[in-house]
Parts: sequence; C-alpha cells; structure tokens
Amino acid sequence: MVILTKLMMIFLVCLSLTLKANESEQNQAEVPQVKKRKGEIFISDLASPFQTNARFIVYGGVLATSLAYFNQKNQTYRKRESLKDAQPLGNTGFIGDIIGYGVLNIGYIAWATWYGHHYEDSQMKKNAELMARATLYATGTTMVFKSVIKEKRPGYPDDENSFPSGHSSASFSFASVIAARHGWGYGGAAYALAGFIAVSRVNDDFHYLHDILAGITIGASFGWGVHYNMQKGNNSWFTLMPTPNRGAGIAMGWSF
Amino acid sequence: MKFFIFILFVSTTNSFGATTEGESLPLSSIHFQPGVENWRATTELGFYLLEKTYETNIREFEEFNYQHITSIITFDYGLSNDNSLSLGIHSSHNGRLKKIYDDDTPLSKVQMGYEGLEKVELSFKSRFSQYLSDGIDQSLIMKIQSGVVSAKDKNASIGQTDFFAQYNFSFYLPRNYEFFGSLDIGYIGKKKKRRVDGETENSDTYARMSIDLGLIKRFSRFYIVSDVSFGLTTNYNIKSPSYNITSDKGFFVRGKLGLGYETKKYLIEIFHVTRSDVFNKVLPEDQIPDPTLDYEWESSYTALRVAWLF
Repeated sequence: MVILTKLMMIFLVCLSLTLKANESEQNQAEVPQVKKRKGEIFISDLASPFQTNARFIVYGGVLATSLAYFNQKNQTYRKRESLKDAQPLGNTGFIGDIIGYGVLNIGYIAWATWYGHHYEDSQMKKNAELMARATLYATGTTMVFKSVIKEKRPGYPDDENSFPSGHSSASFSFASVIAARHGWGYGGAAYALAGFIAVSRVNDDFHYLHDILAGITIGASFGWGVHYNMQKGNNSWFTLMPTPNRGAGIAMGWSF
Repeated sequence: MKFFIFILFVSTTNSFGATTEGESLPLSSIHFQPGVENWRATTELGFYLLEKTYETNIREFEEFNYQHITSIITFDYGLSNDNSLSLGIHSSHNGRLKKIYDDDTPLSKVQMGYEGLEKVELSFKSRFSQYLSDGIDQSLIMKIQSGVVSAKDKNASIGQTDFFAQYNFSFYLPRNYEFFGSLDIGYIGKKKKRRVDGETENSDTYARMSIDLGLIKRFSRFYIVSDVSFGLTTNYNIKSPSYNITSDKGFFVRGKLGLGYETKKYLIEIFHVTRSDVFNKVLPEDQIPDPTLDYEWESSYTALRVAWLF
C-alpha cells in the first residue's frame, strides 16, 4: 500500500508536468472543446466507462467477473503457494509482479513527455496526458474498491487487498491507451504483456480469477473511456486515490 | 466400426480475396454469416482421446481413459445480414472407457463401452460494426449447451447446461494472412455421473475465462489455420460418498493446427487439437502439501470438417 501510494504521488507529479506542457497546445485539440461546468466535467470523466463505447468493455467485464465470483466456492487461504503444476507461468510470475506496479505506465508517461517536448510533438504530449489520466482513474478506483471490500488473498490471508487486482487495472489501462493511440500492432503487444501480468497474479496466488477480471475491466474501460473523453475535448481529470492508513482522497486537475 | 469417406468437390466458382463484406467472407472466417434465410450445414467427424489422471510422482490414484468417435452436425440459419442462429448436435460412437485405480482402493480396473447423443448446442451469433477501432471485424456469440441423453458413465443427465459468451475479432494482414482471436466466458454447469460401482459422483459449477489467438494463411482456395488458447478456471470440485477432489483454481492450454480447402459454397478441413487442463488441488490445513500432487486432463482430437452453403 505504501509503495502504491508513493507511486500515486509520482503519477501526480508526472501528470502536472504533462498538463503544464499542454497549456500551449490547448488550441490544437483534436476536436474543438466543449465548455462545461466543473461538476459536469467531473461526472463526465468518472462516468466515461459508462457513457462512451467503453461501456461494452464494462458489460462484458462485469459478466465475466460475476460468473467467476459466483462460481468461486473455495475461498481458501492456503498460506502457501499452489501446486507447481498448477502454475502456468512457473517461477516467472515475479516479473509480472514487478512491472505491474505501474512501471509501464510511468515509463510511457516519462518517455512521451520527453519526446513531445524534444520534438515539439503535440500528439505525444496528449498521449502522455491520456496515459496519466487513465492510469490515475483506474488505479484510484481499484484502490477504493480494495479499501472497501477487503477480500483476503488466496495464498496470503493476512493481506486483505485481493479484490480487485491493481496490477491488472494498471497494466490494462496502459495497454488500452497504447492500442487507442498507437494502433493494434503495438496495442496487441501491450495487451499480451498486460495479460501476462494479470495471469502472474493468479499464478503466484495473490489473486483469484474474479479479482483480475475486475482489474482488467476497470483498467481497460478507463483506458478507452478517457481516450474517448479526450477526443470529445474534456480538459480536466478527477480521480479517487488512496492515502496512508486506509484513507481515501480525491485528486483533480485542469488544463487552462 | 470402420468409416469410409469419399468426398468429391467440383467447383466452378472463382476463389475469393480477403474481404470484410458480409456474405463474401470465406466460410472459414469466424465472422461468417449465411445470407438472409440461407443455411450453412457443417458435419464433423473425429477421433477423440481423453486421459484424466490424479496422481503423484510415485503413485497414481486413478486414471480414466476415454476414446470415441465424435460426430457433430451443425446448421446455421441467417436471420439477417449480421445475425444467425445455430443448432449443433454432438454424439459419440464406439466409445471405450478404461478406469484404472490405485491398488489401495477397493475399486478394480474397469473397461466398458459407451455411445449416444451427448449434447445439443444452441447459438446466437451477431456480427457488429466498429466500436473500438477501425479495420477490425467483430462478432459476438452466445452459446448454450445442454445434454439430453447420457452416454453411460461418461456424461451427466442432470443439470448439464453450460453457457458460453464469446467475443471474436479478426483483421487482415498483407499476403493473405488473417489474424483472429476470441475472448471466451464460460459457465460450466453441474454434472452428475453414475459410476460403475453404483456411486453417484457430482461436480459443482465452475467458470472459465479464456483467450484464443490464431492465424490463417490462405493460398487461393487452400488455407492453413493454427491457433492457441489459454484459459483460467475457478474451482472444479468432485464429490462422491467415498472421496472428494477439491480444487480452487485451474488453467488450460490448447493448440490447433488445420489444413483446409474452400470455395464460396463448400469447405473441407482436417485438423488436430490437443489440450491440457490442470487443477490446483486443495488440501486440508492440517495436511502437509505434496508438491507433486497432480490432477489433470490430457486430450487430443483429430477431425474432418465439411461445410456447405445452401
């Protein structure tokens, strides 16, 4: 939790830099921006997984998560790893554990921001902003769910952060932004990597199947939802985020 | 039982190029829809092998070996340009089941035959326009499978209904390659089996989520298709008066390789599928876990599929 909270702070710093970098680009938005009141913008951004075409991801994801949850009869807390033969990724799951902590997202934001500045590429600056916003929404929502639901992890019952999977939501928000902005060639590779990260969480007994399905749904829906929202020209972001000692806060920003 | 199959195709139609336009999609496409009020009939005949084992590295508790001829007859009916209904009938013939038990159990080795209608499958398929990105064909399939007659000691006769939802996508690549895939959600219903020793064995419902990715390479009318699937499952539990097998998760890997020939009206394909399912055994807290305990299914299937449009 502490590590994730620190990562959130890094996200916020990156986001602030990104938004600042975009100040001069506001007149070059992909679509003319629609002036909205602040309240409307908050609701619009937060509801983007439901109000845009990303809702189809939500529908499918909720169905898959529900099926997996209601058929998970053994809420076992084994205090041990599962059978080696039942670990499809063997001993390589730790790779997903490491890069799933938002490394991909942060790396992309840093690279796209640098690239945008260095080559005066306004599109890349927009991409960095999209990645930051989608990641913040996805991980923020995930952490709020974790704080409220407090499901025990299958292999580590002392830890109550099983539902939903933060690694899955972060990695799928990353992959969705890549697919939305760089096409399905890079997007396919990004989704494969995100899939590896998600499976590694079940492989290593940190999550149940329904946990990663929920995380995938949150990440992909915010990735695509915020992408569609940006196409419409919304110039703000708003997200829920965790604070130390199981608190929750609200982070927001405007570009003006 | 021997099967002799003679198939002669004489085609006067031209081969087609890769396209995304409705009826001109090749029959091998996962998005293919018969035209409005048209039918596509598909027959499939294959040899199926399944081995279920529950073992450690030094001891095999039980091993069930199934082998039979599978026949599948499917009819697709075009409701509109983008929607179709499908009815499939699966049956097994000349089945042989061997059951081998550990010497410590009171059960002895059993060999028996089985055959019969296995299940009826009803599907609704919808091909839809672009939502997420351009250049990708998409379709959605909702499928219900229900067993009607039990092949003795092999299938359930009660509560066998399974439900599947499948999202398909594909896009065309240069040089007549087609990349395709699907996301599958499955609800596997309860199964009730009558064992040869008189016991009734029940398995609980469980869910399955899988992804399938594949590639088709077309050479005029011939094509090669291959795809791989990976899926995760929730628990798969078996209960009977004398034993319980309890798992809390599982996964499967599946691979397919096929060779086909198609025209606008006909398709013939021979393919081989191999699949492995592994489940994670759950032991009581007071038992020291045996890291070599293994509960898995290994299956393979070789079949010939013929489809025609009318």
